[in-house]
Amino acid sequence: MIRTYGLGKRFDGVWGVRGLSITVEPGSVTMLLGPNGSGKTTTVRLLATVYRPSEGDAEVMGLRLTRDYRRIRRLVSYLPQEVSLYNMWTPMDAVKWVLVARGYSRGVASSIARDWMERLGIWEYRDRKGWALSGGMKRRVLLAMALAPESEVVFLDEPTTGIDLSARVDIWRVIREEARGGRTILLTTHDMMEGEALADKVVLLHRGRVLVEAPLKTLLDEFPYRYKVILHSMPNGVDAPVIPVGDRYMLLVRSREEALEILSQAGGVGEVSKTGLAEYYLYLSGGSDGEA
Amino acid sequence: MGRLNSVLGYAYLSMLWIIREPIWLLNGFVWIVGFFMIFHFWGGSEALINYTVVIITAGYWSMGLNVGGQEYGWNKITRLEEYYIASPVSFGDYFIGITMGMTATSLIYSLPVFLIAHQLGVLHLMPLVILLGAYLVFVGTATSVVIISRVKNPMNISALTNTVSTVLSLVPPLYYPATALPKPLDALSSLLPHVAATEYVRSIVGIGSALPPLHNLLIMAGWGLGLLILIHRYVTWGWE
Repeated sequence: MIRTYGLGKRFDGVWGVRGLSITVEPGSVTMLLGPNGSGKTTTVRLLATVYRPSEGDAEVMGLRLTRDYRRIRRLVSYLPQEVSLYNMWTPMDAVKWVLVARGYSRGVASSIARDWMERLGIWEYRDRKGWALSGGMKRRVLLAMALAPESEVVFLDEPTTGIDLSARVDIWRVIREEARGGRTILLTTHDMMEGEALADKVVLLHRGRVLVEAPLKTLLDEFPYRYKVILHSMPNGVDAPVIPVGDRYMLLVRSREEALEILSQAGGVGEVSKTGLAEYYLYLSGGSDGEA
Repeated sequence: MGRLNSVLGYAYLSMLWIIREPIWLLNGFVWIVGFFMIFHFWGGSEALINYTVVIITAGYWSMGLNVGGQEYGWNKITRLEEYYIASPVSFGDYFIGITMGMTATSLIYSLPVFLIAHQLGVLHLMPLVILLGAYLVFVGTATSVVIISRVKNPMNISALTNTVSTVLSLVPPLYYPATALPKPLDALSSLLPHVAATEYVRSIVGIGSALPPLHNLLIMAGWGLGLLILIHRYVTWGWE
């Protein structure tokens, strides 16, 4: 389990995150969701011991972050958001030799590396140099580097960035399998669809603070606005939360009937569909992103 | 075994540029052989013996300062450093791994030098020169690591390390007499670790060292100790 207690990080007088108090259950996938600049990466870097907290503390598998950070490093693995693979490295070099560098023998590292490359569909590319791999393949290699160590806790910072949807689904399946196998996974994304597909629990961040923290199901069940109507013009007398989207308007409503009535008032020009995490986030954040 | 594996793992990772692109070796071999020909033409066998020593001392120092520094700097730029930090590996294992990788790479680059040393009848000098070379890889890498660790954005790190290592590899009395420099600069160059190591070997074999062996040993010890203190004091491994 991971618990944070008022965790904060300040950079030259500006808080990246502040007052962060969240819980990550063991054997689950917890998603830090939010737009760029909302504090997701800073949070993960704090828990991965890359950053030292400016305030607060955390507990990672029973160890106190500010006291036991060296011991915590034995329990975690981490895929940084912007990490890149050297062009002369092959997938086998990357996955096998970083395992050796973590202390595994070469034989064991080879076997684990093969297993992970097969699971992530990169085994047949194992001897291809980095420059000859697609962006998606490189991302899978990096993911294998993070998942292959037998760590209890895995931090994945936007692991599917730049990967097409079908490959993302494959990766989501692997991440879900790892959580079911008992690993504690904290994952960041700004992709709300990924959040809905993967998360057991969601933490919505906005400008370095927690907007809401709840199990995904609870969060979606409790969101009163189940439908949205996208309109090209605003009808008069409508009482519903409105999020301006360029020259259109997104109206959040409680039922399909209400949505259809508004659409009718607007002359039938627009679309009605169900809401999800994205609309919940926009509703909570007032429709703005987290860019500072 | 775990820590030994870690060190070997990082050593191997830091050598991958040459394992996967061995054409770099050809570049190094051509450079070495070409300069042997130039030195032979202009200075005969005495110049060649001098060069046999200097190509290793200055070359190993450069390997640490330039390539070792770039390895560390590029691991920062690519964020692989963050991946390494969130693992059981200590900075010590990581640093020793890079130093070992750089030493092994230097040894491979030195193969033509050993052949020429054999031809010149000075192969017996090589164990001492290689030992000092390994020390110079450590000192060179440590110097770069201390500097790069203080640089917020190391994007231009290759330009920096290339320039510094080239300048420092050309100072006298490595390839030409120290009298070429004004007196104060001459004194400064004698404080450099690769100059001290070169002069130490020269003093041992009597090929024209201007500095006493004790002076050179003290310089080398001072650099080693000083860099260990600086690393301990200034280089962070995450937790920033």
